[in-house]
Amino acid sequence: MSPSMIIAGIAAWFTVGSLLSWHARKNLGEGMIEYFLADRKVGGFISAMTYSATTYSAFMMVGLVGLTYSSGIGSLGFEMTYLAATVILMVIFAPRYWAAGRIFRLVTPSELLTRRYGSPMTGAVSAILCLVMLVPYASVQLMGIGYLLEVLSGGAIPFAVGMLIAAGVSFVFSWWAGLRSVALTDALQAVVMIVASLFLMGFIALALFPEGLPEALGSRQDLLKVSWSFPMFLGLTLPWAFFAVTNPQVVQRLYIPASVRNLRRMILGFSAFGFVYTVLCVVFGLAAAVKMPGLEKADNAMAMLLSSVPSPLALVVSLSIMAAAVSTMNSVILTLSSMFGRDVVRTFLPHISEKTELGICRLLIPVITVVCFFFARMQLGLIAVLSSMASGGLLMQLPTILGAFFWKRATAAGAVSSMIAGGLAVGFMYVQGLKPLGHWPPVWGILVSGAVFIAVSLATRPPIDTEDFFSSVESYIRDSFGS
Amino acid sequence: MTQREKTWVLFSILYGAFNVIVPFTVLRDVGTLAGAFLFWNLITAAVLLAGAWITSGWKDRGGKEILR
Repeated sequence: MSPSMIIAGIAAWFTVGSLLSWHARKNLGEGMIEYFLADRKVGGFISAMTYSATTYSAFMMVGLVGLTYSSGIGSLGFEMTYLAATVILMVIFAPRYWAAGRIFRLVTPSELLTRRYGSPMTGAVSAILCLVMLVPYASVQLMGIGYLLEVLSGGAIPFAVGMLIAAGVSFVFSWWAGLRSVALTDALQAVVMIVASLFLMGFIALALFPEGLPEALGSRQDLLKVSWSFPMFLGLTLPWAFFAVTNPQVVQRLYIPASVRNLRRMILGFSAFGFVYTVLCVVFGLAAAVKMPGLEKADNAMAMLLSSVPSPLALVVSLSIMAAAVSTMNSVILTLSSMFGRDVVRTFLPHISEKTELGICRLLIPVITVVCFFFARMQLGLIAVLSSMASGGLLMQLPTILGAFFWKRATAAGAVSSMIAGGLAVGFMYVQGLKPLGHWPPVWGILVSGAVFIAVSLATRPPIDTEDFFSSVESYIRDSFGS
Repeated sequence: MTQREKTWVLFSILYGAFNVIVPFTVLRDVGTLAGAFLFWNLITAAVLLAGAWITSGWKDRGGKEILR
């Protein structure tokens, strides 16, 4: 693909996204809730699309396709389990987050922990854990675009330039109007992701496999057998199964729908998007394995597949991969900046005005973007370790989150100690490459985190207004949801 | 938790068990699209449809939308 064609495609995508951001900026009001939550007045379709685009990163079209290429159908089980678990958790947690957000005027997921446990330190520890885990995750999105553009342009667009383009686009989409611009550009990018994938599927089915893909797969029965070991399946699936409640960039989206109807539409829209997108990505991996077996690097499967389709289609699909990466990255950066301001800075400077707080948060958007850029530039082996342990590390918040909504005896000391103990345990095992009894670090980490949470909570006193928190949320849900 | 939510949790536990047990035992060596591929698609679709059904009971007290 010619570099000028790639640059033209990126320019067109950036122009449309910038126009949307500019449109969003026109109606921007003042304050944290306005900037980070679009005043909690987002419609169902936009909510569903921003949730989908934030959740599904470049991993789907590169990593999942490669994983299917190399290890077969087990990857479908892994990704479908993630999707089903997300919907299961949303049905239970979405009403609670949505209600608590309105009652207590919450901006960030960690702020809910501060309010529930009556301790700013609980929110601060959760926010710092998220910062440590998500900066490498966001950096990997940049690296993905850097490699993609370098490969597609035959080296004419160097790795660093590709990352710079992605960082610039991400910054503009998020900084301009906060969640208003992120949500609108996410919706655009989600549509690009699904439409490009459907076109690619159509081309593969009609042009690459005129005899029929199911018939062609008959020659690769090994791919359709479950070759994954159970510990591998559990180790990969467990952290991702709880993504919907442990990853702040998606939890924050539970605050934004304008009404119960829109909250429901968000869940249904995400369900449909996730199902179609997952099936398509897995089929791409299977198709690549049949058509071009023997690749040294499985992650190159999508790039090889694109080399056998017409250039315009390859360009659109490549842009959709960039869109997936940017929509994840700008959401992560926006959420992290809000958490740093609300949960860390405000913990130590509790009397700052909301205007000052918002100014600090907005200043952090370019700062975090630059940190991610330089982090990705280093290309350290450490990034791979940190990004793979991101979901496992964030999982260590799970006992604290469950306790916040379902265990009145849970305490701030239990929450803080469980997140620290679990985070350290997972970090240590990842860095050392330990898998005791064959099980992956998140499995052991959640056992440590859960045990510490229960033991310390039972040994300490719960906050005095625990009952108020529970009764307020339950009563609001009863009134709003009719259940 | 409401009775409906408790039923949902029970349903989820059953889903979790079947989601792992069936593909990793009965379907492990079935090398066709009618094996684990079809099973994981169907069981996930069942969860998504059940989610649509269970949230159909959510009432709506309205709210102004600004981003549609």
